[in-house]
Amino acid sequence: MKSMIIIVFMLILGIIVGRLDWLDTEKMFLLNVDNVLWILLFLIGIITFANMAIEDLKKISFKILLVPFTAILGMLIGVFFVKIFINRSLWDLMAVGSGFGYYSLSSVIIKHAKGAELGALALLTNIFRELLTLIFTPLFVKHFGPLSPIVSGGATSMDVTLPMIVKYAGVNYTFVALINGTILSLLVPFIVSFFVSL
Amino acid sequence: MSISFFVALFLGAIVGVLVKKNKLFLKIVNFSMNLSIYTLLFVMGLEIGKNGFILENLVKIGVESFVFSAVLVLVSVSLTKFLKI
Repeated sequence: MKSMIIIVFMLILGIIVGRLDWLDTEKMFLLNVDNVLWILLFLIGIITFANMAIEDLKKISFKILLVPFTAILGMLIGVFFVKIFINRSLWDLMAVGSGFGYYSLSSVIIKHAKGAELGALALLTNIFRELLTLIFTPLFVKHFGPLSPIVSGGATSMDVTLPMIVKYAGVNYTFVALINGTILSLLVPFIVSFFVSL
Repeated sequence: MSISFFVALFLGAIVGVLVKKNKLFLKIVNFSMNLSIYTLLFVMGLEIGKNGFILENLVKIGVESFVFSAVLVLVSVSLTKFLKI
């Protein structure tokens, strides 16, 4: 609970400071998401390989593919539930859902094919997916197990949400998260394009 | 994810193998990672706060997109209860 409060606090603090334009993000190295991520991935590399044995790597099997498969299945089932609350075409909702957190790419594809409104919905939905994963990772790990934040993070499990996954699920899940994120990121343009064409 | 992130991960992996037994160094790395996670969250908030397009649309379709993502996340994490790898 304490960690979730700190996470939300840091996010809200950032939003307030950004809205009020108190900091010049262009001039400070650490005020750029990519730079912070670069440092974090370097640190994750150290932590993972310092705590992992070669035997742990050998345990990784093709079953790892079940993780992105679960993320896709979760999206398909989830969209049917979403249809109850949101009055839009099923295919449009499928297109938005299949962004898997990769908001920059999916929102651009959807905006070009279906217009600005659905593009904005895709952008916000996928940003929320990323934020919800960041905020609730400690809770997900506790109640649903270490694979849950990886599936929830979707394509972002290989970058933005990876540090939280490693921190709360453990270093043994670094590779699962990386593979899941890579597969979903590669699939996003194809799945989104497929659904917008329907 | 740009290729530079993989390079960072790879460089970290090399350092990780080299410092395997250095407990103090790993403690410092662990502390730095925690600090960096909170910095990342702050910077992400900062980018959202600075982005007028996101905030403007948040008012218009914020609830709709929040419900959408919450349902997707809930269904996805529920499915992992049955997932064994």
